[in-house]
Amino acid sequence: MAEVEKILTSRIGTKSSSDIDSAMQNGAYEALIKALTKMTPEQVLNEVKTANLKGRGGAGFPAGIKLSFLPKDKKSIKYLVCNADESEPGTFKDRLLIENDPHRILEGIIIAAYAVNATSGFIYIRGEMASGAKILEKAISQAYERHFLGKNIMGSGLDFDIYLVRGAGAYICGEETALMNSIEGKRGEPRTKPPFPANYGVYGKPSNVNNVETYANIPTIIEKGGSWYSKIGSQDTPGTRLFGLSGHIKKPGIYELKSNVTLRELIYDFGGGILGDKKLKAVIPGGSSVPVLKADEINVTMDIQGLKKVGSMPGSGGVIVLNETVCIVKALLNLITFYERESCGQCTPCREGTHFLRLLIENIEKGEGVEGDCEKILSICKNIMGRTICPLGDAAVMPVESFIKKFRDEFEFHIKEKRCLPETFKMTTIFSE
Amino acid sequence: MTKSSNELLSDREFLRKIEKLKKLYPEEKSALLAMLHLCQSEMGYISLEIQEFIAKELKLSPAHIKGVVTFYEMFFDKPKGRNLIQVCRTLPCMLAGGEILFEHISTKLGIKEGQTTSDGKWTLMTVECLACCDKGPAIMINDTLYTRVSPREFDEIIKDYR
Repeated sequence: MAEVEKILTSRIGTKSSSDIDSAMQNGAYEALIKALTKMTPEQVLNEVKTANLKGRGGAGFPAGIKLSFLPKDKKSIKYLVCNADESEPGTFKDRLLIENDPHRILEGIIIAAYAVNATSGFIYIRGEMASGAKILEKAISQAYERHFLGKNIMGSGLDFDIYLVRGAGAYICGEETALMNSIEGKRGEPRTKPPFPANYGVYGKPSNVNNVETYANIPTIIEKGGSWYSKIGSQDTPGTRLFGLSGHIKKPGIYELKSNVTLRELIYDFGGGILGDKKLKAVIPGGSSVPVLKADEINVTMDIQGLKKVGSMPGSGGVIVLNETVCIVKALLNLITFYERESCGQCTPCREGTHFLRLLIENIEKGEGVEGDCEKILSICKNIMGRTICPLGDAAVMPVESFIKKFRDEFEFHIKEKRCLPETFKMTTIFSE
Repeated sequence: MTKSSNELLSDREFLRKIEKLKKLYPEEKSALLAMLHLCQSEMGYISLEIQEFIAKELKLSPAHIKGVVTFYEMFFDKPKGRNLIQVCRTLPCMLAGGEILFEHISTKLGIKEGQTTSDGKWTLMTVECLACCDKGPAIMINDTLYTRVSPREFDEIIKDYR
């Protein structure tokens, strides 16, 4: 079993951990003070680069490199954006950080602001997280009171403000350019790239968008050094990750682990095994948008290399476990309905494609599928993949293609027999026992 | 919670809050979502009159405001019930028993998805992933999140609402 090293959750569980006094008793803002008093902005940026910190929102882009795309001069307006629009099905890690250790997030953002001379920052939190927004609001005002935000922070010459923006119910706003449009008071429709946010972001100014968990890693990187961090766990995704276990698992929850933990260890050693003591049928290893795995594909590490071996990706770290009582067609119908509903409607392949996919999969589930439906579904997938402004189209296709490819027999059974597999008539739920 | 457009537009406290929101961000228009959240919490939805008022305040077109109101799922441009129940329908909650809970709620209140009870007390909707997948099935009533909700617990929870 991989050794447990706590970075992100070290303060979570301590008394009133979201309060600044309590957080500071446990080390909050020490890394910021170190950065401001003992390091140059270039040194701070270099530590983040050396750490090889990968974005935790799903795409896994190196955060230090992304930050270095911003113009270097001190004069131009630059914005940092923290993406707290957590809404990828199976993902609930950012909520944990927002509600329990908001100062870790703020500290990470302010350190990043120092590294790139950013003017101000935005935290975009999803509208449904009403209590999280209140907690962040309080944390921000506490940080102003202690002079960690505002003009000439701790006498360093850095001026930096943070603005909180509440979304209003749209998964697409987790896409960085849609998020920026939403900050500007527009419909959350993604922009075409280029221009990239580093040149043309919020209000047309150079901007950098990173996930909550990504920022939350930065204080520790500054405190202990980029090279220390880069040696933790897997080489391709150093550090720890907040893995979220949900679905048919005995001990669901967030587990902070190194990313070279195997999926098997995660499910059986940490998660306590399969709910209902049934057989494992499938696992979605990194949020609903990554390809599904079969039960015999879990002996891999949860990093990029490991999951690549079985055709999937680490994504957002949200692991959804399905036991043998789940009808795979019904599970896919649930997911495609999500993407159909959340498609912003700008691009025809995504708007129409997700709709037709939902209709076809719904027909199969209802026993009205016809021979050739699977081929039709795969052909629609091909016509969505890579043909849209943003990755939502691709994100819808990846589960669909992988479900059909890996569970083709079950789809064909539905089409031929007009019913579900017998073992899926009564699905396990938390109400089962 | 259920003020009319005219009542709201002559409410000094409301107008003061709008002025404050205008100055909250580097650019005024960034206050749009916050203003819409405020209006909806005051009147339960965002009427055309209010949309036009906000358009003037932010120097945007009424069409722009309507476009935004209709884009985001949390905004309503028509009246809804006094209390909004949103039941998570996404996969992790479904695996936890979300469908059983939804059926129970629908039967108990006698309404289907998107409908409002005849006394105007409840509107029932589904919602996509609420980011508490380890504690499904999850629901939200207005701004309050409830997790691991069993049908029996739901019956208890709704006793607190008027």
